Amino acid sequence: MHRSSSLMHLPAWVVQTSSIFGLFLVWTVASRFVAEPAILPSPAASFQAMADLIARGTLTSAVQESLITLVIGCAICIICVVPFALSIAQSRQLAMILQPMVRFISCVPAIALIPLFIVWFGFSTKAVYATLFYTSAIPLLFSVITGVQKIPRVYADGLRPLGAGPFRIVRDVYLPGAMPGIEVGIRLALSYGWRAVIAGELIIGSSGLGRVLAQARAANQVDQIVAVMIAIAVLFLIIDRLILFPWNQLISSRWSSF
Amino acid sequence: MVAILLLALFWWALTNVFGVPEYIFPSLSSVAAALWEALLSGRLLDDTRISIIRLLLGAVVGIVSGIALGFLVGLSRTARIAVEPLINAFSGIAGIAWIPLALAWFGTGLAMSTFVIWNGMFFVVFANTILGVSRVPPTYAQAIFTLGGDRREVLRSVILPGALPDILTGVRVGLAFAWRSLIAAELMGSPMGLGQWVNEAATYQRTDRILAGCLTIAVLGVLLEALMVSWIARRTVVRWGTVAVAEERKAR
Repeated sequence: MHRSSSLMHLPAWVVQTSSIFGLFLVWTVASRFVAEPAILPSPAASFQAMADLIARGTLTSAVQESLITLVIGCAICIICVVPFALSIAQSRQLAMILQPMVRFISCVPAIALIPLFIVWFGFSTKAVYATLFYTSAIPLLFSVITGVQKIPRVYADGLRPLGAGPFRIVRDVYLPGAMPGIEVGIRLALSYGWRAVIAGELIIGSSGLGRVLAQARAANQVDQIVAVMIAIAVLFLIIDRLILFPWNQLISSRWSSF
Repeated sequence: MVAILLLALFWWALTNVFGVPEYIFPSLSSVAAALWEALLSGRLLDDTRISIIRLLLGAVVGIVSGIALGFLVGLSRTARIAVEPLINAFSGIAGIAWIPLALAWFGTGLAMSTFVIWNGMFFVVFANTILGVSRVPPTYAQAIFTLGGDRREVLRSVILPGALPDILTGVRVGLAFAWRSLIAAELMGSPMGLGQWVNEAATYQRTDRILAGCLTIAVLGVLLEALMVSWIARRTVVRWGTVAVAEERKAR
């Protein structure tokens, strides 16, 4: 009890750095104990493998390919889905018919559909895009619809008698009002999308980090597998923290009226 | 219900009216035929049974370890802060990215699928248990202490019911992740199982079988969620009133 209360005064980052440090310590000890780099490579060996992969250019180009796939795929998804969702949400009946349909479709995991995408597009990046689109579109659609439905109807009703057309209403009421929902949707789309990209690349083996992972697995290079996994986790955290969080702040403060 | 009928109608129209070729998008009837054929040959039942056994084994390990460790960590503020970066780091790679490593470690046996499912579930259940435990207002626990209860009683009658809604959310999300990871693990190597069935269908370019497999996977996923989570929720948190009936209303 005493120890925990004295630990409480440590700043959070000290505790958190030491827990990450602890993880590496446990990993090092475990890899010493296992003493079989083909099963559990040491952290040093894994980072060495990462450095090798970077030196050969494999990892850097794979990261580039995966990130480009993610960005382009999510952009396509946003461009297609957000206007669609905004127009659906205008009509309550349409939303009521379409929502359960999409919900039913969304029960099929994207991974199970990857074989179908392979049949359609071959072992190409197109199949990865299809996986990404399918995964990201659904949370985005639901978030935007929820965002629109949270806007009090008075705002749109108040603008209409003043002579605003549907375009004006979308621009001045629905778009800014649904911004929190769109934000959440894009955030979900990116984080689900990242996993979908990795999974798609892993199974389809067309390009990117997933393919490096699949190749390392085929060659039984466990140190490379671990290196790529670390890269995936770090990139996920960077996407989640550095890009989405500040951007969130920016948008919410810009339209702080809601 | 209406939505499903409309969807079926749309599907029928896609293949029969717009003339999308069968090998790209099989018609409703050929998917039904593929499903029926698989059912008669016993393949479907075998694969389903294997997938469900794998899922249950992994899910039990994942749920039990997630809840137990979540309680241990959630009760201490320092431990909560300490594990936060670990949860973040691991949730970034949870699921499918572990499969190559799992294949290297365990081969293609039951240990591999259990590990992959555990890994897909554990961090969600763990994080949500921590959240739930930490959200229980300390006054409730203090009240029990004042009335002469001991630590065990506080855990049983305050923390557990207070944290259960969050734990169930964790289990629900975790089960969905686990089901996905299992299908991926089967796609990538496990012998038998629904994922493997779809994979084999893909090698023969049998889109009707792929879709039949996808439908089975979807229906089973919904059923598992309904059986394992909604059933427990109705019997516990909804009955206790910890969760407002809003959730019920939303479900309707």
